[in-house]
Amino acid sequence: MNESKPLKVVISGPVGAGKTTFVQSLSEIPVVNTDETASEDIGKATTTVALDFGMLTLDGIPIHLFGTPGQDRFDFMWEILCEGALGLMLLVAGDRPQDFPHARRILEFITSRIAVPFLLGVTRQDLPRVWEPEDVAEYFDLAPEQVIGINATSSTSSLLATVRLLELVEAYDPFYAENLQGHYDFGGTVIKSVKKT
Amino acid sequence: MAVFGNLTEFPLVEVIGMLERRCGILRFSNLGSYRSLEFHMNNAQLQGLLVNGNVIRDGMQAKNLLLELANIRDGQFEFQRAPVNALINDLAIGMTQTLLQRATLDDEWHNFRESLPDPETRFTLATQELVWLDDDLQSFWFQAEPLLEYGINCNDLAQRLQLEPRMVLVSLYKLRAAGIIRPVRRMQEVSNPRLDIAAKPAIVQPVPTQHKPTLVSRLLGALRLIGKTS
Amino acid sequence: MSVGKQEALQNALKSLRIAIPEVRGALVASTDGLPMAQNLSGNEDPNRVAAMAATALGLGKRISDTLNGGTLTETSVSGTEGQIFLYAAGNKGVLVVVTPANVNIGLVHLEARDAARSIANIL
Ligand SMILES: Nc1nc2c(ncn2[C@@H]2O[C@H](COP(=O)(O)OP(=O)(O)OP(=O)(O)O)[C@@H](O)[C@H]2O)c(=O)[nH]1
Ligand SMILES: [Mg+2]
Repeated sequence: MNESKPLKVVISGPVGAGKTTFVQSLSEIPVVNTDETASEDIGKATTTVALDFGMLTLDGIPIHLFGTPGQDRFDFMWEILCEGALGLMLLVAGDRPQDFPHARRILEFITSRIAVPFLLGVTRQDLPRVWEPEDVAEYFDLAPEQVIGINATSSTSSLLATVRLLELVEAYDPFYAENLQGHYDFGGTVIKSVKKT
Repeated sequence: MAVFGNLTEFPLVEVIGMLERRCGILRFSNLGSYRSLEFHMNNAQLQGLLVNGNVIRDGMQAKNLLLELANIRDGQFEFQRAPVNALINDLAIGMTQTLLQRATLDDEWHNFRESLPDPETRFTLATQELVWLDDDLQSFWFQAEPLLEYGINCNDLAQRLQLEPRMVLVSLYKLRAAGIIRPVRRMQEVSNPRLDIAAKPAIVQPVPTQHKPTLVSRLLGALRLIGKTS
Repeated sequence: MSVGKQEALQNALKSLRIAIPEVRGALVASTDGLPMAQNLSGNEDPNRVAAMAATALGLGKRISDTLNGGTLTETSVSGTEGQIFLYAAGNKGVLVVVTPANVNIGLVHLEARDAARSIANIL
């Protein structure tokens, strides 16, 4: 098996959660982003329509970072991108409780169908009025260890969250990545299962 | 700092559900015809109630108020933790049970609509004990339990039990709010995990000694190094 | 979107279908994936088609950028039963054209590029 085969981490969550920002904070290459002008009022000027793509090299192993679009109409991308992923980081903005029900639906939809280790990141922890991760954990019915507070605009904070995600993967199965490497083949098997509706 | 939001986003039963293990005061302002409401609660038990600043001591009156609020979907709330001895303590009402009492399917559908799970999301039994259920929910539970044991989604459940999908989805929502079922995590069903991630997440097992470090441990090592130098 | 605009888009799609009768369906979406006008023959969900069109075009743009292909004008998907052409209509819209597999591609491009230009003007 080729040691430097890439692995993939997927970043998902509702509109404006900070997915694109998170990928930008982590990536060592300029992020390929597919943001387009938003034609509805979503509280910001642009929105991701296909994916964000960034990369992080760890000990010689390329980690592909894929951010998904956040709006429901792009839900076909969630499953396409999550196939064969090392881990899923689901982000939700801590100052927007109105997005939690939607985020919970996304998380449950994905994780009840696809076997992928995941971490819930509560962004915007740098703002004064935000929900704390442990309270968000109660709403999502998750153990507190599976939820982390993040400032997605900070690389340090985004790195810490990635460490926590990989710790969860390791706790789940130390050989999880070895088992995956045959699975995820950039541009090949990735696109093999499209959601049927 | 606090838990805050609006009932437009979360039905009251979910707000109570997520505060199940907390002790403190849940405050509402301008909810229905009430200027202010204070729920003094501990472990999802309503211990004290203030309506527009006046203490309510009658259990029946408090229950009726809860039922009335179950259908109001607009009102800011904020929860502040408080030690149990700071709370009023003259009621003992199970809030979740009261709020899950049966209403008509149309009312419930309307009320919970935005919060209902995707009909494709699979559910299974949670470990929690059974709480008291109303008759309709209980009879649904008796039919559904054997199927839920192995994980099943709303669409399949409705088909197997020959029930209206809307009714199944609402019932699943209520059973979930009562802590009786939970969504399946596919991760826990496949392969041969060394640890059940839901039961004990983030507890890193010592990796079996071997010649080569595992890939994930290499990734983690490199990440922690960047963390230190950045 | 104004009624006039909506009508103009609808007319553009109609004339495209008249010009190439083999066309199975056509749709205009915003670049962020919302349907603006449609003339689909099957029971395809226009919301879904619009979102997918925006995704494909958005991805195509970045591929073109990366490989120095310049500004993206169109991208396509071919299957055994049909072909789907996606045209950039200015920087606000996408035109989707669905045809059978054995269609005269030259003719489709000729008419559809024309339609994409007029759609860009409408938008
Ligand atoms: N202060 C602060 N701002 C943040 C944080 N995360 C994201 N933002 C800001 O929130 C806005 C939206 O972030 P995006 O990264 O575009 O959100 P997204 O999740 O990619 O959104 P979609 O692609 O539309 O689904 C940007 O202006 C970010 O700078 C955070 O942790 N703290
Ligand atoms: Mg984005």
